[in-house]
Amino acid sequence: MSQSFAIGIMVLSTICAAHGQLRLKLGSMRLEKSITSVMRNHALLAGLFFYGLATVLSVVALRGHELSVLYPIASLNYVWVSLLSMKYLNEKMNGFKWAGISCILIGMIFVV
Amino acid sequence: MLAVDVDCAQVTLVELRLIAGEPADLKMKKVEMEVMKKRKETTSFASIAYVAVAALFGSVGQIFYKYAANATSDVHSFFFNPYLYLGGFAYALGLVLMLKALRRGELTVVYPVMATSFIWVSLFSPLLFNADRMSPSKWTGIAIIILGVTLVGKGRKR
Repeated sequence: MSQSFAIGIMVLSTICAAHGQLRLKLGSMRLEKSITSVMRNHALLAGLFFYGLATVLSVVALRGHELSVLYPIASLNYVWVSLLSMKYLNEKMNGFKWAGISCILIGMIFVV
Repeated sequence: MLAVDVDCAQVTLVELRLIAGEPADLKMKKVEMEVMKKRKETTSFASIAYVAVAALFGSVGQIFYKYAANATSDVHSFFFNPYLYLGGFAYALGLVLMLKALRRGELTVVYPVMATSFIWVSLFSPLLFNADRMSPSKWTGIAIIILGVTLVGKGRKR
C-alpha cells in the first residue's frame, strides 16, 4: 500500500469519526432509559456504526504508514466536528475554541 | 381558557397533559432548555468532567486491547482473553459517560476534551509497554494539549 493511499484512508477515517460523533450527539439528545428506545434510536446506532468504521479504517491506514505522520492527520477530526456542529447543530465557534483546537493539533504533532 | 378547579388536588398527570395540550415531559424539556439559554455558559463544567473521565476510560480500554493483542497469536486465544472483555467494558463505560456529557453539552466544547486521552496513553505506554520513554518533546506536546483543552473550555462562555 502506498503511503499517500494510507494518508487518504486516514482522512476518510477522520470524516467517518466526525460524522459518528455528530450522530452520537443527535442520538444522545433523545436518549431514554430503556433498551427498546436505545434500539430504536437510529441516530445513536448510526453514530456507533460510523465510529466502528472509522476505527477499522484507521487500523488499515496504520499498516501503511508511520504513526508520526498519521496522528496529526487524525486531529483533523476536531476540525470536521467543529464544521459539522456549526452546520447541523447551530453551535457557534469563537476565537477560544479555534485556538484550542489549533493547540491540540500542534500538541499531537509533538506527542507522537 | 379551561376552568380548572384549583382545589381538586387529584388532577392526574394525564389530565394535566390534556390541559397543557402537550406531553408534560416535553414541556419540562422546553423549560429546561429555556433555563439553559439563560446561563452564562453553553456547556456545564459537569459535562466537561464527564468527557474527561470518559477519555480516561477510553485510554484504559485501549491499553487493555493492547494487552489482548500482545498476548495472543491465534483467533481462539484472542476471543478467550479476559483483557479483550475488560477493554470492551472500559470502552462501554466511557461511551455511557460520553453520551451523558453530549446530552447537555455543546459538541464543539465536549469533543475536543476527548483529546485528553492522548495524554493518558502517552503517559501510560512507557510504564506498561516497551514504548518510547517520555521525552522533552512529548512533555511539550502534553502541555500544549492541556493548554488547548483549557482554551476550548474558556470558549464555552457566551
